[in-house]
Amino acid sequence: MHRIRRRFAAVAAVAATAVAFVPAVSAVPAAAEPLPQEVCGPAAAGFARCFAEVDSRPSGGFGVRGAAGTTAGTALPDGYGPADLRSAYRLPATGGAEETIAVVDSGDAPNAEADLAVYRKTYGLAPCTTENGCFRKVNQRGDAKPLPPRDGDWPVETALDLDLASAACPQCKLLLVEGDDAQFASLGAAVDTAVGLGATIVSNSYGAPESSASGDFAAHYRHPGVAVLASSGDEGFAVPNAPAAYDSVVAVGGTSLVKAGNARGWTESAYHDATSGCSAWVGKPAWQTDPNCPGRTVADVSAVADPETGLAVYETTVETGWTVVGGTSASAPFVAGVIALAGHHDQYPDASRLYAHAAQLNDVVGGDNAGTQECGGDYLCTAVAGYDGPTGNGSPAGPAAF
Amino acid sequence: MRRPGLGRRIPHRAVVLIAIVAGASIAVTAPVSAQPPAGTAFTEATSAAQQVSLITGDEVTVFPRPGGSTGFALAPANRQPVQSFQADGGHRYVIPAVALPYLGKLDRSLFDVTAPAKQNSGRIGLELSFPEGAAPAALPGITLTSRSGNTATGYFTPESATAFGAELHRRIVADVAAGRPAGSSGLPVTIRAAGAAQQVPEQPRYPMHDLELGLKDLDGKPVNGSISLIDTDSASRANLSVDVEGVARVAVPAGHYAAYSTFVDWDADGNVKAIRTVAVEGFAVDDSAATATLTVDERTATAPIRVSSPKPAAQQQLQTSVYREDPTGRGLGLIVVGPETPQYVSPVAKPSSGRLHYVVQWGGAPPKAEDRYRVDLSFAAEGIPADQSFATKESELATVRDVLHADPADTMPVAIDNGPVDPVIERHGFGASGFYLPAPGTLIDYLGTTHTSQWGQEEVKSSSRQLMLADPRRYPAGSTTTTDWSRGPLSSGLGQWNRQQTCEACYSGSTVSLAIPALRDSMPDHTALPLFYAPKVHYSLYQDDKQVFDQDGATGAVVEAPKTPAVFRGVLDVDRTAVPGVSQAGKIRTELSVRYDPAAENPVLPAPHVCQPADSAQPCRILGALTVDYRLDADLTTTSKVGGQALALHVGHAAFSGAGSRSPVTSAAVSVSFDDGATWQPAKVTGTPGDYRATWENPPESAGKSPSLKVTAQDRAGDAITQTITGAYTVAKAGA
Repeated sequence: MHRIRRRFAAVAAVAATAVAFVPAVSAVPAAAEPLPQEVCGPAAAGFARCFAEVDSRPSGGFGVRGAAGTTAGTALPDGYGPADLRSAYRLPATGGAEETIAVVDSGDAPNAEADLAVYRKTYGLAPCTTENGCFRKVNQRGDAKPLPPRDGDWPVETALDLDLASAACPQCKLLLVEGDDAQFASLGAAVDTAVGLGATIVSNSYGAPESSASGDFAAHYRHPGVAVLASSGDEGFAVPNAPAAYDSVVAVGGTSLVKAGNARGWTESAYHDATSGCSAWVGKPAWQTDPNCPGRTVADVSAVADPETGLAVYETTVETGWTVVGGTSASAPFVAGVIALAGHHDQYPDASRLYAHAAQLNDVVGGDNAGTQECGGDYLCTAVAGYDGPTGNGSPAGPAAF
Repeated sequence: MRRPGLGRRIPHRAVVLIAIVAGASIAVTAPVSAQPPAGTAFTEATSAAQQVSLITGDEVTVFPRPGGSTGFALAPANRQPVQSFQADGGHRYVIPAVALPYLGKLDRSLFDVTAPAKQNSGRIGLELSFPEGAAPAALPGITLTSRSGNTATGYFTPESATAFGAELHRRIVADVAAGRPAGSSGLPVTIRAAGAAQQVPEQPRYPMHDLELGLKDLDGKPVNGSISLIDTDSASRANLSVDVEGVARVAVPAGHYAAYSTFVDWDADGNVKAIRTVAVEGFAVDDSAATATLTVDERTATAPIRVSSPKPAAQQQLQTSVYREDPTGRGLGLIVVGPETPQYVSPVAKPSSGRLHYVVQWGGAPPKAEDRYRVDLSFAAEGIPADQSFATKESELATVRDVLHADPADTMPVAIDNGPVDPVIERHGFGASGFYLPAPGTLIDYLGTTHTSQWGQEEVKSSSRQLMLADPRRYPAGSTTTTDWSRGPLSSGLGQWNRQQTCEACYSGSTVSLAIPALRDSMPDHTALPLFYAPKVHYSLYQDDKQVFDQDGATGAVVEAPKTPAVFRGVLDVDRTAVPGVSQAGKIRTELSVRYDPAAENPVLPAPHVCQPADSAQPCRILGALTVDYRLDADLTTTSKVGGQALALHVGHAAFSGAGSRSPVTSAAVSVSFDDGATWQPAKVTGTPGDYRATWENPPESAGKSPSLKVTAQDRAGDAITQTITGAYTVAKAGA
């Protein structure tokens, strides 16, 4: 399905930019659906971009939905919610109460706490607020004020991060650290601040292709005793992104997740746009033994990221309430929540634990992320049995591997 | 004429493009085939389509795609996830999900849907290897025809293969139920297509190796910039544009590489002294563990480009394009556009593998601006010759009279972009460039035919940055051609095209598409593309008078095809009143009715056109959508006078390379409103079916106003169009 969408994009780029050929929502086949919208555009040198992608499905509107909604019997929003994800990844509904997941984003998300409240109430998750000590929002220096100005559409990324961390670990504390801007210096400082404020897990759903400058910021993402995660990116098989490429970071790839009538109840394949790649700047870690990349291979682990099989997110600064969002921006905070459930955040000086416990993951087989560049059917861009680039060692099958 | 400050315009970036021209106009449009997708379903190629049966029981339809790639589509009943890629040599592999866990045991040759031996064969031959010491045993869906030791030969048929696919599925289910990864229990046999080269499954295909990249300037010092890098053995393995800040490093497969970089030399005042393009050919990244190093050195760009014009003209633009392709035609394009600035290149020989297509385009203006002509020349070579002196003879020129029409409210300059077209350029994206000059008026363009007689032209409005796209045409040496640009009244609608176009009035399988491009002029192949100021649009679609789609910002819709005949009526409202430089045709309403009959055999959309409602299993057929070309008797600002008014009207059908409805046009009516549509007066219409002449009187009180036009037409098949253009033209004030 996704490849077909790409075709439409190619066609649109030629002839339909002007005519804005927009298909019917209800009656149109998938071949003509609009592309998911990237929340962040390409990043300038020294800056990161977020990896959230908004699906083309129309907004679900404002307010609490489901049984907790003001109107009894209101349907739950489009997109997977916490129950779906618990089912797909065999996760418990409780755990992680002692853990603090920090999400690092650029600029202020003024409605972050209020939006999170709607999300959690909709899905029956306990409130996570400043008042009850569950939620905290600070700037990159760790202060509650002044908060930075909003940075474009980054509030969507922030909402996705908070919602997905909540979905995986409803009992976790959430720390939102807002960088002054999307410069790596700012976001790196925000990571350091998160750790300084007691975060046990730090999730980073942003990045930029690795370069000679990437090494300058690597230290911000190396905090032994704290699990640091990063989204692999949404550019398919390509030059890997930093911070995902750092050897101290758990690189989280992406999958397409579909309900099925099989024993698991779900099928999962590589998300075609999830980034995998072979680093030319970060050496081969001892715990990574794949044969065809002399450096660090991205990714290590994966979870749902395809906007077409995307997640329900509530956001009101940029979006009009309920929205379906994906991108590997979704999988990183979700896996952060899974690590919290497992309670071993101190075992992540790097991603080696996920290689030692690969057998306890869902091995995602099928699909690829080859685009302009392909890998000859190799594991670097193809989801094969065992380790592969797009999905790493696999997706969660309960917290045991984590 | 150059107009400083108008700025540069680069709407699309299908290729790497560097433009260092103030006031120039540059456009590069990506061809659809630039990114051939897997799973394509364009049925223009169904005549060449073949059915392939896989060992899993899946049926795959395979068909050629523009550019030599292979498209494929799964039979609707068998749509399970597949993995597909097109490897070197043009072979496409389609691997159903059920087979993925068994790759290695199931050889890739089983999923090569391009191999001729696999096409349409009733029995697909197999070679099987069983474990050492094990006797060949029966397998579901596979018939063994001979046995020798632990090996055997056999075959499957399209019918029997489903049993083998079911066996794979059964094994996967068993693995999952047992908590094992799917496929981990393995197959007790290795199977490959008969006659296929044996593969070693564990052999890595594209091991990566580190490549360090650097740039050196004229002084031999490291400099920042970018390098376009391509694996010339197979561009699909590596085709990158790498930014170099000091040193860049990327991981790439072993192989042969070409690299291209452009350097800019500056003088002390910050002016560009020269542009130098360096090509590196034949660089090898080997299989060793050592990091390879490639430094692109500006000092090798020593050959100055010199162009001689057969007419007096001063260089205003010099564009060099390098298209580097692997043996399959995939690759990159690097275009450098400069003004009077000298350009240098590094000569390289024609490569032994793949193609290095080098194009020099030169544009010149007359010594006196009021002469309103320009000269556009083009030259091409394979490899980059050491002798960079190029000339065109006077006898090799073609003359094009570009008649530039303009809205009376649009006083901004207009550019006609020109670009040579050849097959390589087409593969990588047609590009065009030009310079603005005052409009309305006529520009005489002398096009060189030394390299090619086929040129593309586009009009650019500097007021709105609107592009008027047109099909490339052949302009033979010695010929004279006249082309109207933005001739009013402007309208909405489909057209008749020969260059690759997406058919938005087509149906295929279970879907129907009907769209109405928002703006066009009087030429059948002209379609406007607004770049900065888009008109407001609203589109509604009715099926047998029941609304099935209604949305702002849309110009068309794709909907499910009914199982019985139906009439689709698309209604497009275009509001251009907020677009700069618009006083005419501010609002356009178009109602386009087409008859759809699933049993009818409408004309099939031919190659290379693309079907919007793509269903690979079904042909794409063209609906009988009517089109209207207006040629008003008026001046270049679509302004006429009080008194008799004439309008030539051509009513036709949307057509693609000549394919389209041929239903005779049976009626056409024209009416005019001098009070913004409150009342309408019928015009007298005469002529033959399809070509009409409408006449009416512009009354004295219409002076200084913009009358509106309404046209209705229909054909024998029952297709119809009604179009209302508010403020279609202007009646000059008395004494004007």
